[in-house]
Amino acid sequence: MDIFKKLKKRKTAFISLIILGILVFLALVGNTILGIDPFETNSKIRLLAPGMGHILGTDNLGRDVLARVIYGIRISLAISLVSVAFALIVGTAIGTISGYVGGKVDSVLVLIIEAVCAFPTVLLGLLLATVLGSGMTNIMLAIGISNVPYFARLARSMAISIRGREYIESAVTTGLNHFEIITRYVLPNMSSVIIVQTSLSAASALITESTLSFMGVGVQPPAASLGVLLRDGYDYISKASWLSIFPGIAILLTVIALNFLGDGLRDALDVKIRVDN
Amino acid sequence: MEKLLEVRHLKKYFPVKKGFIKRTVGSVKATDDVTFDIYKGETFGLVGESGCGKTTVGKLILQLHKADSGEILFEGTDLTKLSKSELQKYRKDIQIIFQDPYGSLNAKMKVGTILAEGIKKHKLLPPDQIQPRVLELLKLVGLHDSDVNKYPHEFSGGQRQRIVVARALSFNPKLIVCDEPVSALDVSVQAQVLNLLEDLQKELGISYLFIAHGMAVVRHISHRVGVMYLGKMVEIAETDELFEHCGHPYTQALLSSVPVANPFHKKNQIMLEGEVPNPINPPTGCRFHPRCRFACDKCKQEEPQLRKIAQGHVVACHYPEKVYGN
Repeated sequence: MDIFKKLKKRKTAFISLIILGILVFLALVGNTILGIDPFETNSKIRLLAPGMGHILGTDNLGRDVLARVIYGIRISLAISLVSVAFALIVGTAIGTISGYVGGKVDSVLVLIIEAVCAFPTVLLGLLLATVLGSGMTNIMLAIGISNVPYFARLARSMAISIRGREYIESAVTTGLNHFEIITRYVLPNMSSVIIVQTSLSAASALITESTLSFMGVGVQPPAASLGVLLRDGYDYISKASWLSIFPGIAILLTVIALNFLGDGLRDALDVKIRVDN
Repeated sequence: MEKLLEVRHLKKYFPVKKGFIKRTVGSVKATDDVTFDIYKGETFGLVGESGCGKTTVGKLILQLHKADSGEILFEGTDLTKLSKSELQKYRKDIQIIFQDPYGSLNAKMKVGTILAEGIKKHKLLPPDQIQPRVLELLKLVGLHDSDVNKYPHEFSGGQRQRIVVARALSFNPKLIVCDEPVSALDVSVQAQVLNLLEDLQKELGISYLFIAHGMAVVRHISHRVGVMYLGKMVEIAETDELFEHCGHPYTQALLSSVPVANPFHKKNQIMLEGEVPNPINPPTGCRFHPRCRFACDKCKQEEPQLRKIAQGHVVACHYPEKVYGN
């Protein structure tokens, strides 16, 4: 694993990877291991401050905040990853075809991409939520669609620059067909840029998800993403600030880690860059 | 000698588009009625200024561009008329070496994969013989067995160009289009690559279409030379004949630009006046007439055709005698 070795040498990126690993681990099995339930209400321990028993305190219904934050990370990460995976596949495919084929196909696809891009993500989220109803699938779709143009533009510009390279001409004289050229020559040469964009998009998708959920068009109770937790805590901000602080920290940590990982991956994936220190 | 490639009246105009609706407002006459032959085992040099259409000729032969009209007969088969699947059979016979060894190799592929690509695609060898062949190719161009698992960026420019040569050879081609294969390399490495090309020709009988702008390199490697000016072939002759007795004023000017390594050499360089005319709107008559020392009224009106002035020597000029023999 050459890439992993190189990534290990980038300290910030490697630490980010570890943090993300811990977060994912927590999100998957944290609550089971710690034996805490994010949905268990208890009116006797409402708005308990962080301390023994409930490390991060409890909320207005007496639910354990740690359990809820862990659960929130799971939902938020899932939404962000699924929506970015959608954007990655659809956007890269559209962009690559657009840039590689060129001509009229390109003109039409660019028009569509720009049209989608003209919608602010939040507006698109509101629109989809109104039309299809709010819920996890729809919010994934909304964030996914609004991220498609970023991948499409990137893939298109990469495909255009790669298409003009001489190794593509030598691939043509080799007798390879378009499918082989795209999969073996075009996509590998844009992969590092796309992977970096994936990491950065995952970070921004997480923020968008939180924003939409905060506005009430995202994940609906009893399910709770980090945005929902922020929204819930907002009502008690002066009395019980820990309700919003800990979900906030979780968002911050995840987003920063994803961004640093993106930077690190860019260097690690570039065969030309030697990571020394 | 047997003809390998016959290029007949080859034309390629690139449309110039302008405005929002991409209206065609004219065309760049990149290659305009070019005719020449390449024989088996021969190196045909193609020279001319930048933008005269040399590279376009190369790419047309490789079918990277579709010709507007004219024929490209490869062993008697017209490549321009073939369908995509029929063309596939001929792909392996004609290969290319590009000018820029940094742009012509896929940076994400190991050298071994690059060299095996064509063999696999055309099923030239059974799978178990591919690896030995790849190592053989590396040896042929003077690289080591261990280089097979390296990426292109780990090599110097000269080494990369030799990988490109090995890639071209992996197909056992009959013709290699060398598009300025050494202009991006420094002089000592140029000699390496040129000698390699020459040795390979002697060994394997490959023909080269050698596109270049450096006259010294062309003289060194070519058996015959064609001179192009603004999309037209203006002179074709055997190398020695061309360099000793050229018949076209443009060739004469090109030759006089070759530097001589002698400080006492009396310079009688012919400086061409003016700019290269716009290929969208080339001059009437002889395309060279605005820059020609001998131009007269006939040159402005009537376009000269290639005609024979000596054995194997054709010139497109109304008054070749003004240059020929002087």
